[in-house]
Amino acid sequence: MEFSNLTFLYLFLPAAVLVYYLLPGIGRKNTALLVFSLLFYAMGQPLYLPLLVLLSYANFRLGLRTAPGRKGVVAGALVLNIGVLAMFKYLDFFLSIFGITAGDGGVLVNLLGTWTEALNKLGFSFTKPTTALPIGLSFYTFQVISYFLDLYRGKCASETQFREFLLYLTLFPKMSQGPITRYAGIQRSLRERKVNYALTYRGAQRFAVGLAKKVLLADYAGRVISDLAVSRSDGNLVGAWFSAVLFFYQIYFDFSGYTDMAMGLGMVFGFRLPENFDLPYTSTSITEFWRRWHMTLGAFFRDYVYIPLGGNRKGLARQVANMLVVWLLTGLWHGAGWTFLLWGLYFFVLLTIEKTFRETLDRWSVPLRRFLTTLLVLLGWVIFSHTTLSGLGTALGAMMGLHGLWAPGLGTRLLNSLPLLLVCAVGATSIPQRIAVGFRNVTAGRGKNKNAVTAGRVVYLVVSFAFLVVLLWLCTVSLVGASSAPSIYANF
Amino acid sequence: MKKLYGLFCGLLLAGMLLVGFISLFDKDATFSQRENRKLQSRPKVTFSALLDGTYTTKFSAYYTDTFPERESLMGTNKRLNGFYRFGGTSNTLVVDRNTGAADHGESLRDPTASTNPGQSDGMSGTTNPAADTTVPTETTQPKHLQEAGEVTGVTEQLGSVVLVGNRALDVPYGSDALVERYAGAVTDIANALGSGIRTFSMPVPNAAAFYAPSEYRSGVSSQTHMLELVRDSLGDNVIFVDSYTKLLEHTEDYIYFRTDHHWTQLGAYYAYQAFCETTGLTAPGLGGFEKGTLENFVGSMYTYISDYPQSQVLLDDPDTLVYYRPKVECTTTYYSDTTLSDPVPIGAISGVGDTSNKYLTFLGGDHPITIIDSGKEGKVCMLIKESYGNAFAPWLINNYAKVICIDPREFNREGMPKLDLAAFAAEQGVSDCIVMNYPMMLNSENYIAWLQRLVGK
Repeated sequence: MEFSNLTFLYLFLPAAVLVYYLLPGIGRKNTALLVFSLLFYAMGQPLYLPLLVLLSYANFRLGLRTAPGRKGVVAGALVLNIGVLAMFKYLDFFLSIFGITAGDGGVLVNLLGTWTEALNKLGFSFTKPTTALPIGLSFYTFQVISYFLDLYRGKCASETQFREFLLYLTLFPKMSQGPITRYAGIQRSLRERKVNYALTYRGAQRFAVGLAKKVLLADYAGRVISDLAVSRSDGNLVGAWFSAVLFFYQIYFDFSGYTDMAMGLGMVFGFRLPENFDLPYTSTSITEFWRRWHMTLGAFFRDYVYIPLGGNRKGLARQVANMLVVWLLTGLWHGAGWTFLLWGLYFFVLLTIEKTFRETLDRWSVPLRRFLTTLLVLLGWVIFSHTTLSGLGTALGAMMGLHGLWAPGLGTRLLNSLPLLLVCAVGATSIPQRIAVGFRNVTAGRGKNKNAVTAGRVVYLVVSFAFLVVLLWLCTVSLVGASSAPSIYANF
Repeated sequence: MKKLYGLFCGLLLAGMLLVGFISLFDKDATFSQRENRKLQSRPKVTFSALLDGTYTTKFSAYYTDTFPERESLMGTNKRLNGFYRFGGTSNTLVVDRNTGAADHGESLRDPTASTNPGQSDGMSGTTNPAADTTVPTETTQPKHLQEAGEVTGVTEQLGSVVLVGNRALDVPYGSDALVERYAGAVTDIANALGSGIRTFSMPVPNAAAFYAPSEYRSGVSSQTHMLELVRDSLGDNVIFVDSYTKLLEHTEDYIYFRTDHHWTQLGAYYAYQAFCETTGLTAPGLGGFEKGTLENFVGSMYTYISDYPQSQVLLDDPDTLVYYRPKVECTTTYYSDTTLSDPVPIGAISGVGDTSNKYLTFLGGDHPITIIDSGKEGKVCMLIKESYGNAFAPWLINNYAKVICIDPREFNREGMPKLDLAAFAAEQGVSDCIVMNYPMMLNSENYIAWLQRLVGK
């Protein structure tokens, strides 16, 4: 289930919030939240729910036996979880390297299809699955890995209650697309949350902003990209760049919007999930971009792969090799395909160049560095957005003008999308954030006693509430008019 | 402040709960006037659907379709779309089609629906022996529409709707491979019919070929290229009819609707002239025909872009449908299959009642088999067509004793009757066969397959 869905917005979410706030005590609240989280999962992929619970139980039991220095248990847990991920996500890719293909959909989809057929002969009427990847498995696996490695390093203690452990892993705000949350960072909140309406309100605000980013910007950008593709208007110089620029914004507003929604929902239920984005499109280098984009994934690879491999402490050659490993894994994490590997390799090369020529690059002007960073990130998304190397080659050829310069109707399409592009361009800068913070400071920021009711604070509350309601209403209007597309990161 | 925050949180939650409560317990709408389509109904709960996740998907679609105040929200969405499809001062708009080939056809009467004989046609023309007896039904989601994509398993993408001034144009995207296959399918029909029957291929341009800005008349959207490719790819036993050149001579006339994707009956007349010139027949002048008009016709092109505020220009400046009644005394009847056992009388020029789709005036829309019969002895013409043929067919009765219209979309598919075209043509004594289609069909994999199935290919 997606957050940008009317059934979620007007049935699931208010019901979950109502039950959560009505129930007394953290234990009951956790039970309610867990039930809603499992229900949330079941509404997307009910058949995988037993797998999720069983795997989590195995991890729970293994976690109880894990202690600092006990390599065996940790190794076993890692093999189990990475094995499950590999089976669902990478099996077909690895088989294809050896020339083994299992037809459309892959080994597991075909297997599930066969089982479906067999069951249907017994009188059921199951629809054949088109995908075999459980929702959020990549995020789940990384959270489990961080849990076991933190236990091994003594950074946290084992969770002793299965309810809390399962809630940590399946908490519906973050389950399908992160942010990747470490147990150590959420451990206290699992038991010591208190109802804080100011936090709840900020959560609702953040959720509405995230929903608007997804529904009012990313989805519309996606529709124009789709229109360009089906009308074959993106196979030429102008069309290909137009499409690439739209995707550049689509993926940002899609994923950062989702993260905002996740964080907002987390706040509504008393959790403070880690930040995942910090205005990445304002970066002046690729290094900076990756400090600002999908921050929890970058931190995961830094803490659990790059530094354990030696980081930059064992000479330049080793550092470069470590970076190569990290970026190939980053590519693979996003998807089992050659273009994802190439995408990881692309950033490895760029980051290596940046490290090598840092002093020279630092002398360049900020606007030039920002422009080049934007251009290189945009090209990176072109690689990312194609699933086949041949498709990527065609797209890059079009962007170089090899397949013509223009297509019929492009002028009208550009004109039609002008407001969308402008809002996206401004929305990806720090301007909206500065306006929001400025307004808050001017109205609500004064007064020593944070709890005192002042005219400014009331004005802030009323205006921000009206803004929240308008955003929610516009998203509802848009969702009634056309369903929201699945989030791009829902595939990972 | 804590209490105030709590109050506003409570207000928000109460609002969302209220909407959720109303959405579950209000009376569901079943039809959308705005979109002219049936809305999803609440899915049945089954063990399988719950377990494989399809229930959630279906419920979500139903919930969106029946959301409280949906029609009003759709109106707001139209204004929102104006932001996302900015038209500037020129009010231009491009909207891509993502529906199947059959979407371009006229609505078919649901064969299970009862007819409404004897209703007045409400037209300003006079009646004649071929008077209307049935009001055509405007079925919003005919079966064939839902099955678009049955051949490839994917929905076909055929083109864009481009709004220029007060005219919306249906711009096709051509594929040489498909157009060649189309010509091959027509040749297959000619081969199956044999040398005793003359087969004519008559691909006809749509309005975009004449009124679209030049960029939409070139490259993959070049209709002249598509028509020439059909001509060059046909077998020697097929006679090509060049309608484009004749229509080009009359672009100052009202030959295409501006708010609908069809041609007018006058446009069809000029194509008929082209046909007569090719075959050596005589096309009577327009002077002797009784004319009638239907005002305020806002057609399919408007419906397609009605979610965008730019479409208002079409609503403000609707089309006028002018029809010409056959001079020849004739009856028009449609049938559901080749047994011709269930005749339903209809007019060659038919009453449309209060239906918004006034193009149904011609033959009452698409039906599996429609026969215009003068009752005289003489040559029989078979017209294989989609809805473009409906405005064309009534002209043919000037030169043939009987005109048999066949809609290939209605045969040889699951749940539909069989048709062996060659056998049926022989049985009916057909002497000439015309395959008439407009550009969207020349590029439709589904339609080509439906043509091929007529002759067992």
